[in-house]
Amino acid sequence: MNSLQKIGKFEAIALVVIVTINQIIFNLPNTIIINTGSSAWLNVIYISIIAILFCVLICKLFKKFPTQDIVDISEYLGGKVLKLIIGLLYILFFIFISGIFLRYMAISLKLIYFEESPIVFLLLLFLVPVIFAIKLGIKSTSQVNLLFTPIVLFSMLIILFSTAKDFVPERIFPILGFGADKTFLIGLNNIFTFSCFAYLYFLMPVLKNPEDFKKIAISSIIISAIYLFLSVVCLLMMFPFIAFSDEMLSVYLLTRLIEFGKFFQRVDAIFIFVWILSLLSFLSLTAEFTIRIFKKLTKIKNHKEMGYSLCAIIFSVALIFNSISDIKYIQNELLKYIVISLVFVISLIILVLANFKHKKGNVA
Amino acid sequence: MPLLTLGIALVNSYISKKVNLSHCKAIVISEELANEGISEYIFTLVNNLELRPDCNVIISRCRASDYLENSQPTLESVSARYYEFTLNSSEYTGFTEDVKLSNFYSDMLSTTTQAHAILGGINANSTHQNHSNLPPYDTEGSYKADETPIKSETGLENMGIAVFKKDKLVGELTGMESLCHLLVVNKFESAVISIPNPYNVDSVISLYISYSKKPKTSVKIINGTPYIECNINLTANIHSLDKDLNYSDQNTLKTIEEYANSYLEQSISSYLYKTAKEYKTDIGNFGRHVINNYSTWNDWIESDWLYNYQNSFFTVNVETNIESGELYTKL
Repeated sequence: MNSLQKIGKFEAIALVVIVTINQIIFNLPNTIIINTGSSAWLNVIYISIIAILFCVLICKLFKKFPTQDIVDISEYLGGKVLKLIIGLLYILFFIFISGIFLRYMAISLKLIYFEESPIVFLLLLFLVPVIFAIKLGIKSTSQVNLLFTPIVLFSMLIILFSTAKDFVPERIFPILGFGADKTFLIGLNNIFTFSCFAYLYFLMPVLKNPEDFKKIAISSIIISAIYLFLSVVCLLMMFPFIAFSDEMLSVYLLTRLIEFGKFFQRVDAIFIFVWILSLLSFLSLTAEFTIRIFKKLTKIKNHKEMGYSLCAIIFSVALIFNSISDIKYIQNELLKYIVISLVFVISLIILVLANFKHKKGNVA
Repeated sequence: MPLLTLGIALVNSYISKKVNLSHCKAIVISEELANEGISEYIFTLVNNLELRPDCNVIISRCRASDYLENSQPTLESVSARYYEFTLNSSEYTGFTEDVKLSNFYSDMLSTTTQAHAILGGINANSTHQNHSNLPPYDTEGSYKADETPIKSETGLENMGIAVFKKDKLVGELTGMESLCHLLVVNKFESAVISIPNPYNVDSVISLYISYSKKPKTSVKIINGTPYIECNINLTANIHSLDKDLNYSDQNTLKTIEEYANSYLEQSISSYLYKTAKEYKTDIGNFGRHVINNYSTWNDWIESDWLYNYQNSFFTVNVETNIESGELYTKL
């Protein structure tokens, strides 16, 4: 890979963090709270610890494959067939989540500001910049993302701290929420909130210094965990009904409550703008990874031209969902298990077996 | 509930402009409607994107239309701004609470507290109440909205709190009871109150009070019965001046402090017992001090705090520290 197209440490951290931030914006904390109730904060701490341990394990398993991603490792383990299967699964996964997030944001924007605009225009508003981003390559997209991510992170902190005056800390009780089993056993399913691991699996070949992988992975998972925790705690302490209601955008509800004195009121439009930037970053980076996997599977020369087709596919996927209830159903019932099985089970098994094979090869 | 949205549609067809609720500052609901239950209305309003969660909820003692017709802005050309500032008076009178739609909605769905709203009315000669039979220190806070014997151009008056049980209006608090409510729930800013003059039974002493530190509330469940203890610390300045009183004298100040403590303890206890025994509704959010005793949601729901609140007993301790008079300490 061209060294000019490789990304640095901070760009890589921003890349992973923006995935979690987008999930927070698109109601992920609400999904956790609905599953666990007032113990959601405890559940987030629990799954965060597991995610960090999982991250350490992944870093160890990747050590033997310093310039390879999960698709390359699959090829090493099971040949071209396994490479094709894993590659296709990840392509489908990335297209699927891009489509869901895109449609969710488009519906939300339509509801809030563009009631009379056709949804197609709103979808294109996001997809056209993605085509340009793919043309520019991962380096440029990551650098722009590095510019956006601190703004997005800062805006999230503003939301969390400016609503703090209305917090009722006792709302984090009863401490075990819907029960210990729901918090720690069934609640383990909430590990799917760390779907950013999917991006970590493809990070190694694009890093300037692959030896930084461990630092990048752990830092980004810790930042993601902190933001997830803050957003869950904030929603819990703010809304007593949050465990039983289903909002379009929970974090947007918070922004509607923000006011700085009598002069700065109704600042939610600023946050929506920041979230648009955040989604643009997310879509561009996801599309970039998708095309890279496609390139590996098909060995096409001019992979950047695939941007048009990919965006057309994401556009079509986004149009499949007729309503928010479709998206919510997929988010809560389907996406969770897809992430757990693909990102946390299948990929881990591949990494472990590849390490065994590597070890066996060395011994032989 | 389609009536509200349909009503707006009808207005839109009648006028040449589209009604937009983005600048709505107050939702006025008549007492009559509130008695029947208003959850459907509140849910629809909360679901409305145009309506901001910071608009106030007012329960009007008269018809809502009369309230709006009579509340013509004075000294303010923009009506939204007029409502914004009119309702802020609770910050320096304590006679009502600045209740927002978001708070009302949250409280209505909460398992630790019940909802309450601003009590409003149109003050007219016919609605004035004569409380001359009460001691002078009790008179000013004894009124509810529309009862104060004040002559005003607009007639708009917000005084007291409308008390809800779930979504139904079950009672009203007077101005003084509202002040006690604010003191207990840590929403009090400052106010001027009258207490009996310890040296002259026929006169009163005016105190400007504010918190010296945050109030502390503890709730213990003893044999299934809630025992609630409120500790309130205030700092005060004496506004009134009497030629027989010397505010630089320690003994005089101590006596006034004792009277102030005793007067406020009695008033707050009376407010608390009224909510528990008469209205049977916890608008002070005392449930939040108990919820941490339960480990799971089911245990908490089974304890049925909102029902159990009516069995509560209260102890109120007020510590007032009088700092000084205003310009003079002695005549």
